Amino acid sequence: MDKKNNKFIDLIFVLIIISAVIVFVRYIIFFDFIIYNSESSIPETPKDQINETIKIGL
Amino acid sequence: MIIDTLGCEWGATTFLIFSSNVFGALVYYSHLFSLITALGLGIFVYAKNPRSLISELFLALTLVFSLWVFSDTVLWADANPSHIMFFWSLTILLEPVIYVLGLYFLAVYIKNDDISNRFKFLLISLLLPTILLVPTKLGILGFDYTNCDREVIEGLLVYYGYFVEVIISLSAVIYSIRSYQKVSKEKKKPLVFMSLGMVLFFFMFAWGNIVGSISEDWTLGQYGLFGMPILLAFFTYTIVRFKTFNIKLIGTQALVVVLWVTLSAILFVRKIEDVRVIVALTLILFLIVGILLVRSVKREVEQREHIEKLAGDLERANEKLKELDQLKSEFLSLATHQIRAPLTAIKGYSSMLLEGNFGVLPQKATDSIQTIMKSCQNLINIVADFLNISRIEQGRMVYEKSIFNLAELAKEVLNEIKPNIDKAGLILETKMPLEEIKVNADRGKIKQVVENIVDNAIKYTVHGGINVSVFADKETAKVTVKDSGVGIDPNEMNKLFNKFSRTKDASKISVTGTGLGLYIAKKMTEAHSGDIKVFSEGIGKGTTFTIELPITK
Repeated sequence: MDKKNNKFIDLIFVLIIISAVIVFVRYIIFFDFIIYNSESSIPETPKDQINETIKIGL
Repeated sequence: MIIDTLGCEWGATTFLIFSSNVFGALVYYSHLFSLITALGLGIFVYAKNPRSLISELFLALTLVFSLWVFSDTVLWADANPSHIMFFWSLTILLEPVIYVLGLYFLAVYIKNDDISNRFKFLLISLLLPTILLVPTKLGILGFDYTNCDREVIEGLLVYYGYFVEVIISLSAVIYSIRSYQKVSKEKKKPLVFMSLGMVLFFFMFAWGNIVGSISEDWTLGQYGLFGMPILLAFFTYTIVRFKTFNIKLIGTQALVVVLWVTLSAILFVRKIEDVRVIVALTLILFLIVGILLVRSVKREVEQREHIEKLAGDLERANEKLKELDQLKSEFLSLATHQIRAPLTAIKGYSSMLLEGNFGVLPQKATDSIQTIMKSCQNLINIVADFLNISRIEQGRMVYEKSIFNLAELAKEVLNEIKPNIDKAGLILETKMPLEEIKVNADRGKIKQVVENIVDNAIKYTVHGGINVSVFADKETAKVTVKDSGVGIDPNEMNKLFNKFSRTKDASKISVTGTGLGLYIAKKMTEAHSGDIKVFSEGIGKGTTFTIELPITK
């Protein structure tokens, strides 16, 4: 059968891309997430720490 | 190699997925094998049928699955928390999408049509919570830096994803079972194969994810990824066996590609245990697909041999028929010639009797001889028809062409046939042109054609009249015979000019017709590069025949 202008798949892909872009911006560009570290179970905002973490880790 | 604050060792990563952090080659095998086979088959099927919805859906499914597999491979190889957060979110985002597209694909395959908007709305509703909430803390709480696993702490949305996976897997089972009861017998088998492949994939994939997530032992979850090659195996078999998408031999091609991939994978495996696992899995896969393919090819060969045999039989039968047809024509020609001679004698002597050459006959004898004359004339006409047919079919009909006035010929025919029209109580109307309409044709044959058409009009008109007109346009001379007779059923129009063909209503009105007159008339007209056209609005609404001949200037 022909596609008959099926927009449903396009819609799914557009929504996935929008969501993925938001996640990319948040986690890759702004490193905006919480680190649970080994010394304390209290979550810490990582923005200051993350660069340090990466430096140490990798 | 770098050692972090926890004392965990990390290797550098190339292209996000290649690193020494991946401790088992099985990870690469299960991931890359599934990714390459899925993507390869998805693109191949789409390239073969770009306009088909089902191949577009299959491509979408394999694309999303491949993206998921790539993200998951990054999670195994990469140690960067930022990358892990992003790709882990992607896997959460893509998992329900794979299920929604899989169910959509299965439904379209079974229905052989697009799904309803209500169903689409339901599917997108299932996806929306994941799509909207993945970037929030409901998706991922944060990065777990308390051990060397380099994992994230998953939010509640993950469990929603598992809920969607289970719901869709069960829906696929129920939908397949219900559809199985409804579809026709020949569609049952393909349905079983495609549904089984999809359901196995759904459950294996869900099992891998759920077990990995709950037990936090993702090594066990790796086996879930083999659900995709299983789906592809069923999918490929369905294509080959049931000619889905009209793609042939794709199974063999796919199998060869899979062989390349699996053999190449072994090259990169260092541990003998991993090699064993890979070889065992490949063997199982090849065993199943191989048997199915061999059976399919065998069946194909048998079918081809059968078709070839049938084609040979058909050719021989055709030759035989041609010979028989030739014999029939020769017999017909011979027989009719033999019949014509005594008929001429009967007609001649009857005529002499009626004219009184053998003395005056009593009235009773005269009536009987007239009946003999009439029947004899009918028989002569039939014999003439048979002779004409055998001449036409053997290509022996001779046309002696000359230039004459078609209107003059029509008038001549009408004058001869006028007594019959009067006898039938019909009104004759004519419309003749003042100028000459010249045609280059065999006058005798064209006269026969016009006679036949007018004679038919008289035969099949009970009340009303006949209208005969002759006219010409730039290139064509036309004789139109319009009657108010029984008309012709539109469904019977196409067989009107066939040999021995008579319409149902014609048979009711005139019992003497052989069904040869119009066939001969048409053939004779065509031999003059002309045509006979017929028009009727339906039964009881009269008929119009138009004889067309090329004009001569």
